[in-house]
Amino acid sequence: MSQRLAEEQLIRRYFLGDLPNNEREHIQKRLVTDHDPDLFDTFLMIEGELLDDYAFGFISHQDREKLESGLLLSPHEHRKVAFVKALNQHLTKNKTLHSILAEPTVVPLNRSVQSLDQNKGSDADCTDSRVWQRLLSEAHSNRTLIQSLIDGDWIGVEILFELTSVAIATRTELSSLLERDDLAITDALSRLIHNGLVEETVGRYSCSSLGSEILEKIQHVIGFKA
Amino acid sequence: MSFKDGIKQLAQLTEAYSLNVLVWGPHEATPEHGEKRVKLQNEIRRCFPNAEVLFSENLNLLASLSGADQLTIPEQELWHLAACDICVVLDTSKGAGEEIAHFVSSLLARKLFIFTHEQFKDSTSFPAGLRASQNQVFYTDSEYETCSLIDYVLTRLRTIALGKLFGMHV
Repeated sequence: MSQRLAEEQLIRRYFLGDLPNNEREHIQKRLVTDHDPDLFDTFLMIEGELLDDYAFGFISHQDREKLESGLLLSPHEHRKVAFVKALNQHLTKNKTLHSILAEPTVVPLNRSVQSLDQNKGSDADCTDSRVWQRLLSEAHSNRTLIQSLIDGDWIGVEILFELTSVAIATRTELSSLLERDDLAITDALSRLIHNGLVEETVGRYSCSSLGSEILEKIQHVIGFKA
Repeated sequence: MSFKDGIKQLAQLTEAYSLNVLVWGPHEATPEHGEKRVKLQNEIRRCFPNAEVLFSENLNLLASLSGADQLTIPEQELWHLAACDICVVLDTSKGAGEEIAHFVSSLLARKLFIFTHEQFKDSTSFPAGLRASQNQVFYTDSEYETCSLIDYVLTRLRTIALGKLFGMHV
């Protein structure tokens, strides 16, 4: 789950042109050589989301500029955005949305564009169902991860902060540093480990790479460097 | 800034996030259940002062979408769902269940947070994936009467808001 989240972030950065050259080349190589359908689906999903957000104006000014100077330089991508915009206008004016709603599965604009492109028939339905399942479970995993930070009056964040400060600590040391009871620390550590934010080696705890990434996000949000 | 101050600031930013919250359920005029929906709206507004908490009937789609008056009710509701960050559904009647049946299979289903009475646990027709991902939860009579459903909603809202601050799909 944590790996999937990291992968999504990586692909998003890839499309926004935020990756250094070596990482960019590595991901391109994986796409060609890994033959991993999940990786390919994730690429399509994130590319579609970015293009939809761009077309509907749900994107920051900074990301808009990045897309315009990167992904959207490809004429193919420009056509996709134009098509999404045109389709949106068409749906609004002609009530075609009704026919989409009448289908067993409601297909959002991006998927309908892909389905039209791919013209896969029942394969497309199967993919939609897989994407539906994956979107739900990814959102659930992300929520579980965030809850492991918030639960118990934000004890998860406190532990991450302390672990980056002391690098490694036992449960008793954390309990003493945070002035929290042992049970609260045990529960919080168990949630953090379950979500891949903290690692345990023979009773000693340290921040995982995902934990460090999340901490960076927190520091970015609050403008505070530990 | 100390760690404690940093966490306090993070908590404040989370609750200050401008969430768009949609509440679907019985009309205000419906005895008891309607009142519950208003109570939920007030409590969310109290804890998330910048959140916009609306019922479908309060949303004027035409103000932001030309041609919206030509759309059917489910079509309009699909736009509402697309525009919100979370849609809390009080599945307290057969009608409400049928109303949202359109959307549980959509790719926007992750935004739904459906409350269904526990007596329908074995008979609900919504896809099992919704329960597995905690998008549909079952409540008891006592949870409903004591309004502890509101606590569930507020916890979910904090999670969504922090996820949004992190740029994650929640």
